[in-house]
Amino acid sequence: MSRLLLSVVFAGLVWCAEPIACQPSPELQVEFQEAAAISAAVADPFGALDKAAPFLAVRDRHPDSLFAHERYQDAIYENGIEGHLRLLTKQYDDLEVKHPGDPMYRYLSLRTLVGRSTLRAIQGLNELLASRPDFAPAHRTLAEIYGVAAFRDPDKEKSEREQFQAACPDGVFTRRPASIPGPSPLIDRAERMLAQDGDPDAIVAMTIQGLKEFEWRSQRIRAFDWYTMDYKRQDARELRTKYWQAWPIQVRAYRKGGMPDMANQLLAVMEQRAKRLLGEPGSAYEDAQAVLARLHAEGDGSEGKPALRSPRAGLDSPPLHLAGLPWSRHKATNSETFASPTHMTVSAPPQ
Amino acid sequence: MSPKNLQHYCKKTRSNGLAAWAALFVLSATIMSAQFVRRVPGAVPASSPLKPISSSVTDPGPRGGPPGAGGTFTLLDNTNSAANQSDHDFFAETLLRFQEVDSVSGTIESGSGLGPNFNLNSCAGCHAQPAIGGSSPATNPQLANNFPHLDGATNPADLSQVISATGPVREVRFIYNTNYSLDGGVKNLFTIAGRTDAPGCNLAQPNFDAALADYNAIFRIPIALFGDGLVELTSDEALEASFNATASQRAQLGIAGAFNYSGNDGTITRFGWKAQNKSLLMFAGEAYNVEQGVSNELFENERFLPGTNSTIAANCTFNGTPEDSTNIINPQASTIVGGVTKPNPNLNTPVGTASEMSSDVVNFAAFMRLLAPPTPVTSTASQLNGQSLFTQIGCSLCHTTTLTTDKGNGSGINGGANGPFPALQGFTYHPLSDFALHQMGSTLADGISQGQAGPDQFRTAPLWGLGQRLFLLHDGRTTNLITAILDHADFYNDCMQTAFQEIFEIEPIAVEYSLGSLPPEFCGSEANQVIENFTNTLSSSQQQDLLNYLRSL
Repeated sequence: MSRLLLSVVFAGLVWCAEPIACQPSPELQVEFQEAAAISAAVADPFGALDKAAPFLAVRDRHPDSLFAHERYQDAIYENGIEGHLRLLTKQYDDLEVKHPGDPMYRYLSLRTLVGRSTLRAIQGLNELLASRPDFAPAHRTLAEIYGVAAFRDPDKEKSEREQFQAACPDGVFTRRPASIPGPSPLIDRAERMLAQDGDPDAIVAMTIQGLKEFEWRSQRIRAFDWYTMDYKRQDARELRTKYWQAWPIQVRAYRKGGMPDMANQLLAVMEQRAKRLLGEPGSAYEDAQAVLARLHAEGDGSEGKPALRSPRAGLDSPPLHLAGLPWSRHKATNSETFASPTHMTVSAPPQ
Repeated sequence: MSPKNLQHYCKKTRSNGLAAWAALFVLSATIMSAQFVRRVPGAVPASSPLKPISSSVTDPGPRGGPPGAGGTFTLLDNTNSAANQSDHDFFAETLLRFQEVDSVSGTIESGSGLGPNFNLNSCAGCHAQPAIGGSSPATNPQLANNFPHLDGATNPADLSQVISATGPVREVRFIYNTNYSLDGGVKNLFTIAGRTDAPGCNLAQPNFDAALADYNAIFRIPIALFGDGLVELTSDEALEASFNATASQRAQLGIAGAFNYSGNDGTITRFGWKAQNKSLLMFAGEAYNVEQGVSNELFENERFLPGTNSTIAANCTFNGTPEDSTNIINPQASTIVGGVTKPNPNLNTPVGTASEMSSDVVNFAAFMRLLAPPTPVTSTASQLNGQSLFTQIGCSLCHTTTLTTDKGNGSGINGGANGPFPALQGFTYHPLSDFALHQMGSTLADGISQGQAGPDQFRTAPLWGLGQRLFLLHDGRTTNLITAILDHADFYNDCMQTAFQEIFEIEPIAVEYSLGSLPPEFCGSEANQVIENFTNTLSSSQQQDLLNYLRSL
């Protein structure tokens, strides 16, 4: 308790001596609102960097503003997946190197680890506070971390919150974790379109987009350590079932659209995938087999059954011998051009 | 050789002095690094001494019947049966892992880490003929079932000059970069762009058409892996002793050869088309990263083409790295005990078998280590005669017939033998390779340097299992054994200087430059005399016997 009081007093003294803004200036807030409007207009649901770009522009206009940096980081956190988060960490690692000893950049670098390597972030923030107890934003971030279920510690959260608010009574906390997209409605919608004899191409496209949206949602979960391994596994299982819901829709749409080859190719892939589910926990294998049985039954008998090829099928006709040496006298072509020197007789490919 | 002034002119850079100097730099680098000859398309050397092969001599073609490969050794541990069964269970588990199919994040398939660039999504897809662990199958999985567009992938590039439905699985390497610096790296056929499990990724394929038009793309096919564990268990000393034993005979036929050595510990490297990989683990790690795009504990980075901008890379990165690593928690849903597959009671616990807790690449390496060599069927009079002729005309001087694995020093815990698989120690085997590099001249040269292997140097391809191989030579250019044999020869007798002129379409110019000291000049292939023996000294009947022997392997 005495440590807390001391640090509050010390922090208060420092902040009195050198007032540091606890929230963005009104001008910056206006810029944030404008950036948010531009970001919200980005239609691509996977355009994480496009959505963050307006905030990056604000940051670049205010390179010394902690809030501008934080808002840009938050934009990545609200929209990004693994690659974007990793890019963010690299950007702030680089900035920290360019600003050695500057607690703001040390803090910002550590902040990119929150929700990713949160324990490392906690350790780093505490080390930062040990050397700079007046650095209130670190208290705020620690309070945010301790408020999340995965790292919940009510006592620490309360302590960090009090220390931050002692310095910044009107300071604002960031909501963590950032929200994740809801389940995509597109696959169910495609299923309804199929039942209503909708456009097969549109149905297939809709299932693909729906699967992408489910994958994106999973990516938004998988990238963070806010979520437990069990939760991530459960999410992966649910995603798998979405695929097994979507593929039959695609097969049926291909059939309705007069594209039996496409239907058969997908069915062949599904057959292979179903086999690989053998041994998985639960009823995944049996469920997949049931789906395949239905699809085969719906077919015309031969359709849907992947044609078995002879292991020597490749030898039944002369192979293309596409490109022995693409840059040599055996220049790559799509015909039999690699023959040995002309005075030699070479037997036909084995039959 | 003394320095020479070469008067060359780079056609591509006629109006660009800077680029011309860059090309000259590359020429220098190339000449310094190795000797590489590129031949003119369609040219046939008038000077070839080879006699025509009679039309009555034919390649019997790939042998049918049972694969004769793909399993492990009957005895892995000859000290007790329980340990041997345990080893077989281990092999079975590694086999399953080798068959694992990868998707980007493990949502579509159980394996994860595919891409961003890749050539296929499973080891076993490429290494499939005549059994898992082999080489390219008859139906190319790179095109089967609409593979380029699997799961919504876009991959719009026209690959018809590279692969075909019934042609070999192939990887592409570019010889040089667009600035004419040397490249040599694999350029994958496919990217994950458009796949449902890669939302937001927009990654273009390499420009294969341009590279092909510029004579800049070369191909490689999958190497059969059978018996590789025995190769790994053979000491450097044994390889060198076997190699040195034939030195004088080789010299008489103009065959030199040299081993490729590791830049790390100076020991012999022996796996890969150019013997560029030290160990099966290294081989597995490289292939997993390069062919499937899975980062692992040996090759930890995702592979983007040089110059890929950070935005595209970020949009196409979906997993933490390495994507394949040692398992602290057992991820395997099933396990194999006593040869029987069962639900794994240790799923999601920190307990498991060696296979279950090991990374994929360790499993792949173990699988290769335990793959038994192919079983030859050499038995007919013709085949047996061919076997004799194989030695008689000099093939076996490089395609070494017999090697023996290390015996160990007897201080191990398993019945006095070192290593986990004591039955494989002191094991005599017949790879039909010396695992050394040989200069093969312009007919086979691919322009790629790997380790100390130069642009026209290749590891002697082990011929065990040749009888069931569909596609031959490093690039799978032919299915015909006769073509493969004849392509070992190179009677162009053009040497370095003219070769380089052709590599980069160089013509004489007024620019003079000194290359400093040149490496030893070479002309043609080390195999020339042996191939001449085949065509000129053997009767048609004998040639047929030799072919029959090779297809019995």
